[in-house]
Amino acid sequence: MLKNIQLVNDTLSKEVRFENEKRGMIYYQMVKHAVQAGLDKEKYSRAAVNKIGRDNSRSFGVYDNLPDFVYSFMNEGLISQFRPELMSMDDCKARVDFHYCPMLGGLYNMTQDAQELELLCDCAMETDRGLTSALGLEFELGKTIANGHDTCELCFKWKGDNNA
Amino acid sequence: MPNQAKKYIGVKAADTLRAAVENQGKWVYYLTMEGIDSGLSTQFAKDAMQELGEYYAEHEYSECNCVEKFVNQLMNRSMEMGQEAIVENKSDAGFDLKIGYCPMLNMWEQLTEDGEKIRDLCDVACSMFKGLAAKKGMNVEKQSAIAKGDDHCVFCFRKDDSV
Repeated sequence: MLKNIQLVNDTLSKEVRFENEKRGMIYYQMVKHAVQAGLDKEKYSRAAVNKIGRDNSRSFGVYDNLPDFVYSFMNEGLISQFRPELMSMDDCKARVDFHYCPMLGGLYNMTQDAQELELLCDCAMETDRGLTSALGLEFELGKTIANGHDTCELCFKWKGDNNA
Repeated sequence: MPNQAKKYIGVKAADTLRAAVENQGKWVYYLTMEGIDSGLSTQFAKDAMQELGEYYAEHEYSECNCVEKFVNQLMNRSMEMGQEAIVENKSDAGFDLKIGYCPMLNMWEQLTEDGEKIRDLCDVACSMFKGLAAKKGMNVEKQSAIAKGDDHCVFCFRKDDSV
């Protein structure tokens, strides 16, 4: 049983969660049908989602330090949907934990296969890999809710020669 | 193209819901384009969205066994505020869904200037209605589309008497 529990339940947050879960279900169905049409699941998913992440960088600024990026990343929309918690941060490294994932909520509506969820979740995190690579940051994904943990651990690292 | 929000300007709920649907549009765009770039036609994406519509029919719409209940389920705030949708010509035989603004189209126009590609994406996204309607014993016809230069998108949902 996944520990993916939503606790922000005001009307608007629930409505947006419904739309974000739908996004997860669109992702699941697109991958499913691309595979049925002959494409490799992981290659297709990672390539498409990484481009989404890179495109997301359009709505971020140019940063000369890590905390400014992290505070932009933890915007109002993210807070209401993913319940992120800033676990630690210095000039080089920051860890943000997600306590809930609406994308995973949507994926879970489509399948309860643990291996499938783990793979699709990791591929979905290409959004963060694509975003951070476009901004010149490093990104590491630690434990995830899809893996049965309490939170998803996102680690952002400032590159020493970063001039983004 | 006449895709411009006209109502609920500056209303937080409308802006937030529009942003969420725009984000769906971005995922539809990149997931569809990746398939096309890998040699597929848009059919895989239409099939995907149609199956999602069928899922909604069996879950979110499971209790909707008449037009009235179906419309009530369909017309959530995302539809009413985010997409400026209204229902016209409602009867026991069906209804018309008229959409005044499409957040997905707004996103696609940021990602490409290729009108044909945008019209294909519109067909992909709207395949969800096809799956939803079919599972509830209805047909749906897209009579007009903002992506094709019309003022509104109009979807005619009609009971399928052959069912």
